[in-house]
Amino acid sequence: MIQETMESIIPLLMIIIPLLCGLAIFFTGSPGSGNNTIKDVGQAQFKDTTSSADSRSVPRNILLMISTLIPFGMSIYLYSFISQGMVVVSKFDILPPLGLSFRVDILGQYMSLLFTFFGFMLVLYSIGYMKGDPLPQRFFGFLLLVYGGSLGVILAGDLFTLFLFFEFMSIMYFVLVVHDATTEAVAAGVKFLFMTIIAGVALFLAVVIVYREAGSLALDTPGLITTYSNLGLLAFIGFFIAFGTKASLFPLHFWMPDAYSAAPLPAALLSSAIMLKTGAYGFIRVFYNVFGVEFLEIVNWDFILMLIAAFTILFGSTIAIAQDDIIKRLAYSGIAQIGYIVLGVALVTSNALVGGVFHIMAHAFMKGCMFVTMGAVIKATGNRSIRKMKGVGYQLPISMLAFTIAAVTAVGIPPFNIFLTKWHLSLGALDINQLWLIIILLISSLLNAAYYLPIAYHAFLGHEEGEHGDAAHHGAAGHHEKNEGKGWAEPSPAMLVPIIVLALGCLVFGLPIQNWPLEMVEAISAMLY
Amino acid sequence: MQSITSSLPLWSVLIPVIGAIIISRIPEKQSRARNLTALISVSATCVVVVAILRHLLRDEVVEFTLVRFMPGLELFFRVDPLGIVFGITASILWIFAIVYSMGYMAKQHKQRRFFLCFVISMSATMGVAFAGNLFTMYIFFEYLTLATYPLVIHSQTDEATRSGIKYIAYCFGGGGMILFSLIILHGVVGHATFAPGGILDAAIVDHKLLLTVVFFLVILGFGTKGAIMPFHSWLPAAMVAPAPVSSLLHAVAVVKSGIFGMTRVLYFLYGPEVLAQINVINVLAVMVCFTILVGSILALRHTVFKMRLAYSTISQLGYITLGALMLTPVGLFGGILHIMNHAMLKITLFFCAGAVIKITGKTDIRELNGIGKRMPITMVAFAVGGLGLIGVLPISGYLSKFYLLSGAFDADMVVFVGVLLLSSLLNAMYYLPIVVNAFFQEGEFDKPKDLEAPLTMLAPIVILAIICVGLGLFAHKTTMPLVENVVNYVF
Repeated sequence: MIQETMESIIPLLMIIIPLLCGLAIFFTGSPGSGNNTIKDVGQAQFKDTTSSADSRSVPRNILLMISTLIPFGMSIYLYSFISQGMVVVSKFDILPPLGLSFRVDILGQYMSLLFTFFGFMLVLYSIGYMKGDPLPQRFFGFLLLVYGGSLGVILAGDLFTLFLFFEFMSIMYFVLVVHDATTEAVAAGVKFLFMTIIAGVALFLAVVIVYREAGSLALDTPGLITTYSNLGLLAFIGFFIAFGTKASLFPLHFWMPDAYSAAPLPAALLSSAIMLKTGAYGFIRVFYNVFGVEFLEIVNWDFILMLIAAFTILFGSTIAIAQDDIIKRLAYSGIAQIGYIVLGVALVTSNALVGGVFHIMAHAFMKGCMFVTMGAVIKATGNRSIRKMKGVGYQLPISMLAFTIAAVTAVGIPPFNIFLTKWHLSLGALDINQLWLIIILLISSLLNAAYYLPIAYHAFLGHEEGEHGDAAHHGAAGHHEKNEGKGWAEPSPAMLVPIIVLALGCLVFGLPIQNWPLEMVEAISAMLY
Repeated sequence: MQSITSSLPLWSVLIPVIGAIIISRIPEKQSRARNLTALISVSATCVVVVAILRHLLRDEVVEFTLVRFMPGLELFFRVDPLGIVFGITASILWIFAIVYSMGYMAKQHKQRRFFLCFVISMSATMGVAFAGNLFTMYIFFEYLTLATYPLVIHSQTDEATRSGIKYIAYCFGGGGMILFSLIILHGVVGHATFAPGGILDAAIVDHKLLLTVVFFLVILGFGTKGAIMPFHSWLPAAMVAPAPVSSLLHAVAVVKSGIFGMTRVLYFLYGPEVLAQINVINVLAVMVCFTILVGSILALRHTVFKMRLAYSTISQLGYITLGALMLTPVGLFGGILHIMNHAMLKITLFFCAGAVIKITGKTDIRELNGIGKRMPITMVAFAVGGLGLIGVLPISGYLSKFYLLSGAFDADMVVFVGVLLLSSLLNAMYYLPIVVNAFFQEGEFDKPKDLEAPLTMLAPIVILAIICVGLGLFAHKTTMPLVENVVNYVF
């Protein structure tokens, strides 16, 4: 199928605007005339955050809004062309040997809509969440750099450009992990950094091999490598290490729970909703543009990936149950969820791909919603232990209602959106006669129910154990301690809006008559098969 | 390529000498006049080199015969595409190093001697770069050792003296091996003029064993200066010199002249075909792989800032040699490209280290936690240099690695691939913790009241860091055409 192409500079702008705004934010200065040292973090959070007369936050917030809303608008604008079957391309003569090129097809468009939308939600939420942080310019600056980098990954037109932004994004994310500069954060950050470097080296090797074998790195063909060779297998392993690390598949996942629990919560959200997905996206490109479906059917490398994905699903869910720290539980559950996406890709059938790609969106809403609500809870109570969250629904009814929706979504029952994921994945498993995968999906659903629903249940129906005063020890917003846990503690509108929107997203994209994400996903599947 | 005769190469060697003579006449106290003279003479030399470069870009090889002692033995300059790569890299960096030295050496003793030797060693380096035969190269090679010796012992402590003796012993030892090879080559061939593709095609038939032995001698002679293990130990010892010396001479000029000499021997004396016959590459390749890995591991173990950089240099020089040893166009491309990229990146790192040492007085990495607060710009530049050497895009280092890896696949040497990748990881392990600890660890450093370092030190650091990124983004307009010329010329 020859697609009509359109030259446009818009993909570049979508990336450059967040990057430039990110750089500009470094110069907005920190509150308190810049004399804060890192030691002051704790004290700064105890300051009355409502009256923080930080005049510099206004230009910063404007920059943040610009840098996320404009790419979102551009993405919608591009949709009007891409939905008619066009492909937006552009090429720039820098970065030898191959040049910087962008190419937006329906898959890239779907991802960019998702990323830009979540970018906006994330920025909105972070503005509320990070209030009182001693170094906001650093946090937001790097946040935008990571965000711009992630857009670069999905809009890249060749593997080299993809590699450039992939590395850039990962290295910048390191700063977000260590933002709090605690010992734990630095340890988690260094772990993350080394995984990133290993992933980068592996990807570099894979890219070199593909270039050598195929003479091209452009992502516009249904398969660059068409003949079997040992080097090809090496490249496949390289891609697996690179994207598997980012997506946190089973043997490569161990950076993630530590990074999530050490990083500020919006950074974890950024990774969960956006950065992790670049790993999944990479797998799709590797399967459909680098190696090609027909080739993989012959060599059967996909089968190994399928086993790993299936194991990751069970592994993540099982470990998640044992976690008491809510962030760690979310992180391990995220490992399981990413397994769905990779499974959808690795089954190499049209139906499963629909399930996998749809899950990119569904998971972002579901897990995003959980992160934002739990962020609100942590901010209000200073408590991250699940056992101590009983009765928190009285304090934050809207947030916990949203969490409940997300929890039910995670289980995968209709009419919530993850039902569609599991439905299509099951169809895909049936297509290739792997019935045991359906059983794994069912077990995973049960496990999801086992570790999410009790949180929701106890939040509204559980009784407090009279140790709410512990909140103060955790540092964040200690003044709520006096409320005896019964007062209204919903967060500021900047945080509440994302909570509500993401919860609605779980529902809206479930089973309506006009489900346009699903339509896009079906178009993607049609394009790749 | 056609040859033209021009005295430009001679001027590039003479101007620094003239500058040095003027410097020797300026009294010790007039530092401003001395700095200015040094800067002008170095810049003038750079202008001459650029003029030569313009000839090269018009596909002309510049030749000049100075003296002919006897047939085949002459002081003969010949600037070909390979020579100009080394010449232009060194001469541009010399300007940065002079500016940096003005800041670094301020208020230190014996500045006149320092600047005199610093300028005059440029003359020697240009001579090595533009030498047209092995004899000329040997002369300038020894001249370079002599010119840099006073710089190594500059502090005149006992340690410096000991290091100086080691330096002299290693470099002259290597020089001796080159001289011996030179004599034998003259005996066998009658001359040792560099020519692309080699000059030994006829002689190899009769003198296979002799020429194999000579090959090892001459390669190890140059390899001593190129810090190939086990002949490397002069380089860490020479770190006792002031930072500008370590950064320019012991990361760029001196060590690269060794590597450059090896490339000359491989491609301009022996040539790929002869090398394939005498089957010596594998032995050398094992040594180089060993150098790369062990250099990296030793870099990990050292916590003295400059020592870590020195061992990293040893390992990175191995990359260049490895590229040359692959005997494939792509591999050579990667190696030559890395001459330039590594020069820019490593000098940036050394400048940063020097600035940190000068400002804080601390030489151990473990004492530098939190230095990012005191010297943020310097440490960002350091991060750029470190990431560049690891091979992160878009900083220039990735490009050499890309071609080196491709070349390794072309040469069917998958072991090289493993070595390069492992070394990348080791690079990450010894550079990144410095940056991480600088910014995210508690330390005793406070924000600077004024500029974090003197402008003469900060400006070269910042400009070089920008150049490193620029050479990554725009390599196809800057470095790559030069290297392409070399590869076309050789193959």
